[in-house]
Amino acid sequence: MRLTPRRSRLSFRCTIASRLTEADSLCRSLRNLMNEAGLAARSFAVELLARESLNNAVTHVNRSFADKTIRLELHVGRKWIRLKVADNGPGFDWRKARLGRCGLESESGRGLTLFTLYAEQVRFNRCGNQITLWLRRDRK
Amino acid sequence: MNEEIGAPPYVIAVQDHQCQITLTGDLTAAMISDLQPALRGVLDQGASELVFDLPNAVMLDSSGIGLLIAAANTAARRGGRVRVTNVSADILRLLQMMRLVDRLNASGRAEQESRRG
Repeated sequence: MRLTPRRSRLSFRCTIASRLTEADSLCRSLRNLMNEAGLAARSFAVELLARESLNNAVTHVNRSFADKTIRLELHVGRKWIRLKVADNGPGFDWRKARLGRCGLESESGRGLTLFTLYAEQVRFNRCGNQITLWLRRDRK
Repeated sequence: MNEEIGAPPYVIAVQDHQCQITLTGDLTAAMISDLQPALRGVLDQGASELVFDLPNAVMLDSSGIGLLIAAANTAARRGGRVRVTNVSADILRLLQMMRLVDRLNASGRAEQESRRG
């Protein structure tokens, strides 16, 4: 884990084993980090997006791999926050998943909706094992 | 990081067909596997009015939302409903953006304080 706070900027990266408990601990650390860095106003959005990305990796993407790891990188710049989550699994078909719409009574399938609600830009790599999200730092 | 074993992150109180589930922290994917069997138990006993009280929750993710919707669907089939109380401003805004405030009868902490006052 590497942490480099510089004035109003922040960089953080971490690799965890692919387990929900590890993802949860990492997200709590992110929450504390954001709050301590004076970024409490964006803490909820960053943590939520990190949780959805990590949970997606744990539960859908690399469940069949023995050596499962997930890497998270957070960079807070002057105007933008960039969150990148990558795993060593085969990826998932995000093109197909994006087409699915979730009804009010649906009990699952809201993760991608949350990405589009809380991030200005969402980008998957071609094979679907890496997501990069951009958030405006000053969004209300 | 090791798995922690301790008290469950919720308290359940059942009276007749009413059940209050008070969460001691967040409602997220990591605690769903703890809560789901207990919730299934109270639903199997016939509870149809479910109150999820979230006085200390800072975070609600899509797995937590899924659990609340599943509970609401089951309660609705029995003529009951779900209420989600004491949510933070961030969680209330999330539910508003997902158009789930009415479906879950969600109310925020400040809203409840003003009703009491």
